Amino acid sequence: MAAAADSSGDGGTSSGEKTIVLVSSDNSARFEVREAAALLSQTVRRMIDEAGADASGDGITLPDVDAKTLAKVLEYCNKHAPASSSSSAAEAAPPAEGEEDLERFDREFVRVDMGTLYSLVTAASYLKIEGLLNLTCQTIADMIKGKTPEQIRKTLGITSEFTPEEEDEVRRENAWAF
Amino acid sequence: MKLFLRTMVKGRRSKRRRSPAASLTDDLVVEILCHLPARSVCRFKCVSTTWRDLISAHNRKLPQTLAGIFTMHDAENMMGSVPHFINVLGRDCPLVSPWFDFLPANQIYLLDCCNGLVLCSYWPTIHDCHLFVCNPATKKWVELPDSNLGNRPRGLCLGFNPTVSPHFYVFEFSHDYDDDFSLLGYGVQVYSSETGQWVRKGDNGISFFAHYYSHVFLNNGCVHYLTNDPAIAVVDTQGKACWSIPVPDNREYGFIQQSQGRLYYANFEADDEDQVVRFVVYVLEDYDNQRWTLKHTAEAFDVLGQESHNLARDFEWVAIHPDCNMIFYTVGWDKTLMSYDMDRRQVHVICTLGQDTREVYLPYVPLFSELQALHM
Repeated sequence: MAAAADSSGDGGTSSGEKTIVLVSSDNSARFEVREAAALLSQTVRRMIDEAGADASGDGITLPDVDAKTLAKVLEYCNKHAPASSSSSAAEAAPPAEGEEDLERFDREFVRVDMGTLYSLVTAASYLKIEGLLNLTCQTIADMIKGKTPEQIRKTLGITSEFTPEEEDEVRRENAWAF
Repeated sequence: MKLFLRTMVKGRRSKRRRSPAASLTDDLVVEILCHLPARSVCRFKCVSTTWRDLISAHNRKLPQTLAGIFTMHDAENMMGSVPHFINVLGRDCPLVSPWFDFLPANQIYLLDCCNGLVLCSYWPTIHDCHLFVCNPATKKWVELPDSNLGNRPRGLCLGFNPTVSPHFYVFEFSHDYDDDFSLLGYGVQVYSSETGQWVRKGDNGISFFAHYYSHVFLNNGCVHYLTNDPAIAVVDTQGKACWSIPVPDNREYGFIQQSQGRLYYANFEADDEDQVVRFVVYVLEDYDNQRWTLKHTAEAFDVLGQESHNLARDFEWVAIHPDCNMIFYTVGWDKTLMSYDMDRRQVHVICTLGQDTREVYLPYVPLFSELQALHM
């Protein structure tokens, strides 16, 4: 009677594919995902290796990712996971979906509010999911690339901390870029 | 009770909302900066002291822009020449050693530079030409196999676009003669770092002479060079002539370069008395239809600083900035290097190069990543 959130961590889907349980930071949510999807995260991969064969089966807790963000991250991983579930093939195998389909998914995926976008980029960095990190960084980069330094400070809530002389100097040296 | 409520409401209102962007760590800021164009990265040095220092510390990871220009000068003993490097950015730019002493050659000629790689030659004897492609930032290099041209004159250019392929190409143009020394035509051999071989294509369709000083390896993977038609000839990496692009003004002695992803063309216009009056810049916005757009005009006086300049003698094209609308050139017999900012219509004097400077100017954008093709 292998229930979905099975304690062994070796729970399988109906197709018999291996799954992994990931738990959000506040312990409020548990997600069972295909191993191939979970292993897109190098951090999860390392945690599994470290836990060894006798993993407690309580699932892997991710202390730095809250439930809402984890759900969104796993949406990405499920879409981008390779078709094969064998862990050695997971690194080299292409995703199951077509490239155009994935591009469309990615475009829609990052149409979120700024708060969610920052949470996603932070989670992608912590979880070491290369594709998601590139996607979120590129999205933020595209949003800011044409802005002036003043606009950047305002958008990202940064204080300049330049003295007037320092600011003069750096502006002069980089005048061509304005 | 009322007081208590008011205090509560006041407390909530005065609670500052933490900016979600404050959660971005320095590592993440650098990660995001890596996805920006070079011009934005430079501009964002002005955001804060933290960003300025991050950009400086991680410079090698970040997109690069024009760092300077390699030049060649007559050697003191008048035999051969010596490379120099002119820094065109601010003080914090990493200066590249111009000495190329990591190459197994005691006197090199700089021939071409493309996206961080430099093509140079070494002639231990007049019959013996060694070609090297190197990366001055990593000091890695590779020697090309002999192209079997002996000491025949040739025009060489380098093609490399790391965003498309980790491999580079070297184009070698020469005149082909038959046994009776009659000119048969113009030949081109292309070296590919992927195959490690020169390939000469027979019947390449090349029927024009190249002005070797003005050529561009464009993003579409073809070398473009000015001919004395005048036109811009296009040759692909197979060594085949693709097509010819007419120059926008049908005048000779123009200058082409890639800037901001497009092909730029600069030249001077003369009036009815053949006096140089105007500086013009065109951009090939519509490459497929070969349609030029007039980008900028200025009085020649404003750019050259002196009327009726003898352009043939006292002026040399140097470069167009790859990331902004700025052009570099020399004026005067002692070759003063200048820049003209088209957007601000401002001229700046950079330095005097000296009359022993040869007409070889290689704009250099550093490449800090390792290339398999340069294994030495």
